[in-house]
Amino acid sequence: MHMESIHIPKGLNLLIDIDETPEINLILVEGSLTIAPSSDPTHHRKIHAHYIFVHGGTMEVGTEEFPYTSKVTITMYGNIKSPYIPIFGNKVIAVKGGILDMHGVQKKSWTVMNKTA
Amino acid sequence: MSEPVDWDIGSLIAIASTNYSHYESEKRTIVAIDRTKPDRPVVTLDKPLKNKHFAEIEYYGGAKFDMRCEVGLLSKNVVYRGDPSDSKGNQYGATIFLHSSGDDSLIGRFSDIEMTEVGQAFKVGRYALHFHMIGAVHKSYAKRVSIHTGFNRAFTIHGTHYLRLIENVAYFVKGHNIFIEDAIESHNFIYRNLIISSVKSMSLLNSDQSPASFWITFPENDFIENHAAGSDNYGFWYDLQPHAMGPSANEDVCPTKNKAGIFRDNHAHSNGRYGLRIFHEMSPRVFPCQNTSDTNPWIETKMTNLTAWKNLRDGAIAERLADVKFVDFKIADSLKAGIEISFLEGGGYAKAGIHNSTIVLRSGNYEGGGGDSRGIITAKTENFTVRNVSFYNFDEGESAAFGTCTHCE
Repeated sequence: MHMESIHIPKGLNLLIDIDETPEINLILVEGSLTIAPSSDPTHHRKIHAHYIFVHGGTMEVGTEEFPYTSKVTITMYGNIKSPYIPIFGNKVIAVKGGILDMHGVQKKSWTVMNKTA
Repeated sequence: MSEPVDWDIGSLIAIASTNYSHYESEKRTIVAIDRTKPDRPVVTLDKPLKNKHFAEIEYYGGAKFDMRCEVGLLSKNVVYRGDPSDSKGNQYGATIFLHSSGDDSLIGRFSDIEMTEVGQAFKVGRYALHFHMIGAVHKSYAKRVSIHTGFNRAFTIHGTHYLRLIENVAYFVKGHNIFIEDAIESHNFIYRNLIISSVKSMSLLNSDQSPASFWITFPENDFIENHAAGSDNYGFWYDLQPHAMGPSANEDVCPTKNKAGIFRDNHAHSNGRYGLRIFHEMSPRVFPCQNTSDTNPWIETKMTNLTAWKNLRDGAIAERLADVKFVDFKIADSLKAGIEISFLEGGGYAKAGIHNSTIVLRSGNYEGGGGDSRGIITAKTENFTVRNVSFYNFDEGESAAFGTCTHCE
């Protein structure tokens, strides 16, 4: 299967605002990659990739101040035989220098029950 | 639930086991939430629970035993996952791997995200969320991240210092879950994490065949208000190493003898062996790599307010301690012993011991299965101190408050 790769050089920003990407081989982030939420909270964006390599750049799926407010699923592909990025491997978001921000809507992460069930 | 929850209909939740087997934990989908009493919301599930989940606070004397079943939110609106068509079959999921050398040479900030079908079995280093050989990471953290269905560990701290792990939830992840790798990592802040059902990994290192929800190879890290809610083997395992190892190998770092960080207000239940295990040794002193002397005294170390119940063998066990004291421990329903300690450093001057603690043979959550349990099994060495410890309900069968000479048989 032929797959495209994307190189985001330093100084450029790529905004992903399409509903669903094709299966991308590699996204190399030396500039910045922003996956943006939709104003419709029920919208579900789907990202498909084999490798995402943040190499001194910035990748944002929401920020601390502005978390991602609609739904997004990032699905990674590959198996034990897929080529490795040295050190980082495959089926991976690799971060070497730079910033990776991933923030969803804040919810209580856990609690305890009030009564035996 | 015991407090308001802002969870959504359709979300997956994990409900911890409250029995000896952690395999009584369950995963369900929320179909309704009745908020008529906002402080006590009633959550309706897609199907009934198979197992009883205990949720009571009991008092023995002045000691509060909070034995309420934990419930963790797994679903989030931001999902990171391995390809569902083959990840599970291959035990080969997605990972997030952060590495560059040098203090604060990168930033990884994660909050309120869901990671599922993650980690890569059979591959050392391919963990779900992996901070690798960075140095200090003052700006990085993971908060309220859920990791479920993991094939190779959950949160890995490797050659990394000052990471914050706060209010994260893991459910059914193979191998050690919160994992401090090279016995050199320090000043990591591990607060209010909930780890449900850590399971053996037969595809990693030997020690992952007896997993700990919290595997701690270097003591100078803080563990506060975490819940180790079920594991094949251990809740908290201080597996302190003689020296730093792996890529951080360093003979001048002596973890077994280094000063310890904070360990307080943690909970451990439904673990297949021990809630807290210190093995082999914790003997902090001022200059860790030198023998103790008048000018190199032990550092008094207090581990405080552990609540440990329904652990299959012991609430807490230690093999070798110097001036380490268990204080305000609350232990219930252990089948072998509440607490065992084998060796105290210092002969007639030994200072380790158990203080102001409460050990309950059988709580309201006990439904049978026990035999001749002991409250405390004393050490093989002299001067073992048990001070102001209360024992309750030790009237079953051949049970007794004290046994002697642990592991002498």
